[in-house]
Amino acid sequence: MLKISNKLVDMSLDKAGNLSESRVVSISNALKSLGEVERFTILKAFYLALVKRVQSRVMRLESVLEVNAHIQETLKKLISKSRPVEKVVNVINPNLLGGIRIKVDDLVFDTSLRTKIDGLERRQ
Amino acid sequence: MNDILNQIQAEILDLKQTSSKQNVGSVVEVGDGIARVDGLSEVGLSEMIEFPNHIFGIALNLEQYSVGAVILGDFRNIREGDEVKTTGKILSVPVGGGLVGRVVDALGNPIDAKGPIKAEATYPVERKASGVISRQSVNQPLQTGIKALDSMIPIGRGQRELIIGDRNTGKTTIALDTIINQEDVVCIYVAIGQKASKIAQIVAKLEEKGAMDHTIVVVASASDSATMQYIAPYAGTAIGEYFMDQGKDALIVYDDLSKHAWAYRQLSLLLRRPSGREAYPGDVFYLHSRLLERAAKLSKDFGGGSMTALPIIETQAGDVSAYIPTNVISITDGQIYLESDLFYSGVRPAINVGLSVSRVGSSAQTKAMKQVAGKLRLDLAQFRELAAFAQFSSDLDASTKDQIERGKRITEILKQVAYNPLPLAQQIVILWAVTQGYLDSIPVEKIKDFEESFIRNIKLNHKELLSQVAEKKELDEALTQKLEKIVVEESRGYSS
Repeated sequence: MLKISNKLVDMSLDKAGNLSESRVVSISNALKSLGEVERFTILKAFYLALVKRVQSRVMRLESVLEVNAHIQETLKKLISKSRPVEKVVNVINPNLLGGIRIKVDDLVFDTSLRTKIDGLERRQ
Repeated sequence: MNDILNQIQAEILDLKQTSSKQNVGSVVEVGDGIARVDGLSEVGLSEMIEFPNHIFGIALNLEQYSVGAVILGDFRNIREGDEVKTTGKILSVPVGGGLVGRVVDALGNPIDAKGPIKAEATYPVERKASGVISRQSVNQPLQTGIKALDSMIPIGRGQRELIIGDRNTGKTTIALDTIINQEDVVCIYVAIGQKASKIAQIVAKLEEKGAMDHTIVVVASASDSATMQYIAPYAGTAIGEYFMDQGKDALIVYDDLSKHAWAYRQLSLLLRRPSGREAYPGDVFYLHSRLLERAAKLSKDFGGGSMTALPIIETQAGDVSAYIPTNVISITDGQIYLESDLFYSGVRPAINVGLSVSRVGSSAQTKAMKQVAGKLRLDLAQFRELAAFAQFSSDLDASTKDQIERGKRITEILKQVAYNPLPLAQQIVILWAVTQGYLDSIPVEKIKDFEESFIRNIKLNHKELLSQVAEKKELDEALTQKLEKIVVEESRGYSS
């Protein structure tokens, strides 16, 4: 099922590698014509894989103050070397106290003061 | 106050501008001590994962998009959407001499209000058992102090001997007697799924008998989560392995593995693993085999330490052919089978000698015990056969009657009060007396009185004889002649 859903996700991408809405709709319509059991299973796996793919390419940038576009772009380029990034979302999180925290898919790069203080607390 | 501020300032100045890279996931579902976590694509099987508020869990199910994990702390503090991190570590427990005399939980945290524990190291709870090269065969006895066991079902250091029987047949008592009888062996008692009141009684009994000086109690009571009950025997084993690696002898009691299997079944069903016979998961055999395989007698090149395992299994209505009992019987090196009928007829310990067996212990038995045990076993086997036959016939020949009478006296001698283990030398002299027929003239109802006064007499007036038996570990002619004289003299007052 994993192979099938990943293949369907690949088919949903255009030549530039971006997700194509029209392709997703046509694949979904094709899957809807399957039998009731197969339709439910494959559609669920397809949508899950699709959500996973979209989320995996969003870079969530947490910071105490807003990060300017130039730094965002620099960070995006840096992260893109190891993980493909399509979109950057800057989230203001005063709890960090300082530094930044970048989350892409299930990887977190953390330079925040909050994490360092938590580490100190644990050492006591 | 200034010191604290200075320390904090120093710590802050010492902070480095580094970033950490971590694999994370988010909680999708939580309940009953189980969490389903989305993400964590790099987590390993049995790896510890960290939830918020310093709560840890273990990744047990690695699936396509999610991870099934058991939670080690209070799962009610975990919310859907909470971030979960991998730690790259396997669950470990503190080990070392500082644990001796303490009562700890399944994670090695003290629960006896005696302050923090000074651990010498940490050992992973799951560890591969010693290999073939590092082991040697069992060659040293582990004295239980129970006459019936040390004579007929001997246990060797490094052996795995199952104690099996219905509820209230004296399984825990045998294990406790064995712990009380130890001097140079570090004992670990692992309580799994038991009532806290019963555990408190056990600890009090061990303290009363002075056995806590060499004992560690690992507790996962009935009120603890199934996860803790699942981990407890592995944690206890890790603690025991430390002493074994130090070249010492350890004894570990798992009380009991039936409840351990129940806890694992609960976890497996909640993790939605496919269930098999009696709803246990497919790997329930491996659950116990990998645990008991860690008991070993190490070769001299590896320190010569040992870890003896006494797992306990509770049967339902004497059914030893149920799933878990048959599994553990096949894993262990023998079993001590306890029967309700024997228990209620006054035979305590209620050991069914016919169904009990020790597969490797006899090679570790002392020569003196072998001298008396061979005849004892034979006499008792003949008695069992004839006793059944004699129930239907009143007209018996003299030799049959003699054998039955001898059997009755042996059975009386093998009865033993709980928490009163007998030193080896005392066991040998009394068993020698009964197997040589010196007690045949004493009425059965007076046998216990005779035994008591005989042991008292020998302890008071013939100490050197006991120490000779203990030293030589053999009954030579000179010793038997001395013994004969004492027994004949003592039995005069009791003969009918």
